[in-house]
Amino acid sequence: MINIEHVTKKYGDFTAVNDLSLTVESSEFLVILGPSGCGKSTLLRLINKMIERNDGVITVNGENIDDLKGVQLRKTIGYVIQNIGLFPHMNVYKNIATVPRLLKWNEDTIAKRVSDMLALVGLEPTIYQVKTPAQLSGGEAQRIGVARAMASDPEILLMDEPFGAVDPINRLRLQKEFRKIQRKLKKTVVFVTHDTDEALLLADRICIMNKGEIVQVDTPENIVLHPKNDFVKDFFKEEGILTILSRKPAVDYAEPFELDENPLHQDATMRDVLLTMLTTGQERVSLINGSISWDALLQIAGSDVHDSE
Amino acid sequence: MITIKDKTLLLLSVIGAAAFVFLNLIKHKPNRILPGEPYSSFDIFGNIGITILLVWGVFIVFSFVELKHKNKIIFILTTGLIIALFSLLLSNVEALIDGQSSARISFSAGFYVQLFCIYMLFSTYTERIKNHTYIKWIGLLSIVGFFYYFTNTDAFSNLSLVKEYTIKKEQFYDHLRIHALLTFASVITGAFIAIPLGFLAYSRKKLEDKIMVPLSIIETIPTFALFGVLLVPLAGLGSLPFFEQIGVSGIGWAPAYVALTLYTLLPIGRNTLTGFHSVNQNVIEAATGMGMSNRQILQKIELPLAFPVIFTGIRIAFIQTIGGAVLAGLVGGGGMGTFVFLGLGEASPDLILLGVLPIVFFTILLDYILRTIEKIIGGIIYD
Amino acid sequence: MTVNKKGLFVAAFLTILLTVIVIYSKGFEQILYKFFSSKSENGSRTLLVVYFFEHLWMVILSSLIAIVLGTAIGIFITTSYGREFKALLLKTVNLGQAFPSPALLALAVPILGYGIKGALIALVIYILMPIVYNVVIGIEEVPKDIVDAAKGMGMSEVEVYRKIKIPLALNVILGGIRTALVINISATTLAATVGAGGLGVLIVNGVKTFDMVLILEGVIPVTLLAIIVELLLKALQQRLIWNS
Repeated sequence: MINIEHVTKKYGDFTAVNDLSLTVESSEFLVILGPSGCGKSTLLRLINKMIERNDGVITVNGENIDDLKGVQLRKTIGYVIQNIGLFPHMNVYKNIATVPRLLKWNEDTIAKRVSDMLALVGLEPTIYQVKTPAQLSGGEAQRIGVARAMASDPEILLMDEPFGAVDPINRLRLQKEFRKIQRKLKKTVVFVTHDTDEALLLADRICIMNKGEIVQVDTPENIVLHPKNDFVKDFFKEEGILTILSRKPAVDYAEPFELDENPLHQDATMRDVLLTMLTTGQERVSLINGSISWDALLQIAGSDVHDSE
Repeated sequence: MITIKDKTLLLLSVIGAAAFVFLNLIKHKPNRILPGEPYSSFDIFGNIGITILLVWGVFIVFSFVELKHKNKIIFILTTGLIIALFSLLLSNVEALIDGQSSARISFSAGFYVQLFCIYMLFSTYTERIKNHTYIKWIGLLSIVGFFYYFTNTDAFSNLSLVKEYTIKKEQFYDHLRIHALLTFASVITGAFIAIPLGFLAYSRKKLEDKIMVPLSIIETIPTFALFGVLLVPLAGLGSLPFFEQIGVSGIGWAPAYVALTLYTLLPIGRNTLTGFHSVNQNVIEAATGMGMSNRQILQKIELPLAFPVIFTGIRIAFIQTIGGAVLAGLVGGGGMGTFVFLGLGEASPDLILLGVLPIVFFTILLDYILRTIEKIIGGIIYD
Repeated sequence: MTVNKKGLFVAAFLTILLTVIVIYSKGFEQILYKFFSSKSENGSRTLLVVYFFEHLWMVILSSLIAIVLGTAIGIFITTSYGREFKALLLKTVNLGQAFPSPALLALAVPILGYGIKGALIALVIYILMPIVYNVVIGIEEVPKDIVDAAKGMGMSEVEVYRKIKIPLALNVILGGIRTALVINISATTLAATVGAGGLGVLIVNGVKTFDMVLILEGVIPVTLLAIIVELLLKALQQRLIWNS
């Protein structure tokens, strides 16, 4: 759990973070979203003491970070940045082993950990651990970056636009995979992005920032459907609702009304349902466990229900 | 808690103050040969001179505090320091000399260290002053004016350096001319050879190694060794009537000119190659697409775009050659090196300085002028 | 890699050549006399090997001092404590550039007297700046993201330098050392003019008496030495390029 209370950070006359308070629950996936220069990256770097704040208190798992040395604190918090920062003079194994080695684990444990981490991010350990960063594609490098951040099994991960430099197709795949990994390992994640789709897809809660202050913190649904002000509304525009629909598995909303036609596949989301209706002209779409009608879809899209997960 | 606000100021002023207190300022020599007697800053500056130490102290204090207009205050104080240092020195030295015509003064470490610190402070704070830039000009002009005034009096004549200059005045200008001639001739010849070579290396990929490797091997040969080795072929060449007539021989200007020219080939050739390489291929493709001939592309696109880089190569060659030309003095080729090596032979530091100081001055001046031209050229081409 | 091997091969060949010349210097002189007639055919009074080791010793000692000192200063300037001094460093480099090496050597004489001590100090000062400059540039060129990632993982300042910055800057740092060594070998030739010995003595004496053999006896070993050092360090540098 991370607790941020009345934190302020100034650069000369410019206030990057202004009297900001926020709590990140354990195992929560919190996305900080905002335009560039809103102070979101600064906020992230205040948490692991990469920069010192001017005012306020930050506690990580109940401990005031002022009581910890920055170096000590950062070894227990995973950190992934947009350009990954893989060390070009070390191979993948050494890159992932960096923090375990700093923590002086024994080499056998490290070797096992490295191959576990590679497997976790979907890369074949024997092939990849001997590669150098120059031999990796953008997507692969990003996976290694995630594996490296999790190598010492930190409870908390801080991520600063980690998928920003990856091409759109790979980005979506990485996002989905990472979401799964996060659920499985129950890591607390603070994730900074300016990409609304990414935020809506990944977040348990979204924290919208502007000019160093929090505008709204809430679940993706509430933010899209009940934006607090015009800033939030303009930020998401109308497409936000489509992303919300893509978060909802269709099978969860099936009505017990069987149709005599081919059902959508098992992983289909409510967005797929809408697309099928639009492309085929049907008002009811068949699912493996029933079907969904146009009216039901409208109700779900407009309703206030929380993510069913 | 005390925190250091300006580390540069602190470092320079501590060194300056230490030089004032611990190092000898000047040496007083009864004549050219006898070893001198050292005098400290306290001896020379006397009671008024304590103000100089005071200024160093003020600078030390300033480096711990925030001040409004700090840069300007320090700049003005530094300007004052330069003028005070020289005027106090020159006026107090008068008494020491006491009319003895053969007696002379030469500077010691304490003077040079303080001068270095003042120079660094002056240039640092000149850069730091962002508004009210007229202050810079006032400062600069008052220093120039001060020196102009003093050179017209005979205050400087007690300095050993000036005495050496007065004796060798005629030779001094001759050698200065030779030095300049040697430098310009070598760089210009070098440019005429190296620019086509660099272009050839660029346009014929196969030739790149064949051209660039020999050039870098030449650069590896120790300078003096190249001067020496050239004696052999040039002495041979000098025995032929035509070359004998134009003055080619193993000793003299010829080995210096050839060696210095050879050394300019790498910086100019390499920058020519880099310059052409740095021209964006898309631009060339666009030009080809617009129907320009190869010759037009070279003249209108490649050469103008590569020229700033080539010019940088020429500047580097110039700076390198001014210094390298000192060695001409060792092979009888003349130039400022003559004084340097004569000074070494006669154990006369001031004669060495007479050779070195003009080189340092002209190197800095030429570097500044060429950098300015570089900027102007860049501005014209990219406008 | 092929260039690398070729360079090493040439360096090995030149080293053998140099060794033979230095050991059998009298024979070497005799060969030279076959090509160049000279007033006296006695060659150098002091054996070449003495001058050679004087030269080598000066180069090694001054280079070691300059490398240790220069690296330390360079690293200091890249730290948060030393960053402010960078402008001062660049100014000093520019000023130092205006002093040619014979001038520095000559100016050491009035302060430190004739002989090896003055020459060594002048040489250290002369080659210090390219080393410092390259250390600073090399470390500053390490991508910010990589340093950021290393810090974010909990590396201390010292660890970041030891494991990330210095290894990644090594190529550029070695480039500076290579330049420094080559100009050092060249400048040391001039140490003869301030009475510090070395191979320059042969050249100076040769020029004075117009004796081609003496000149070449100095020129050939010193040139070989410079080229060998250049080739070896270039090969070493190429092995350290990590992102090929």
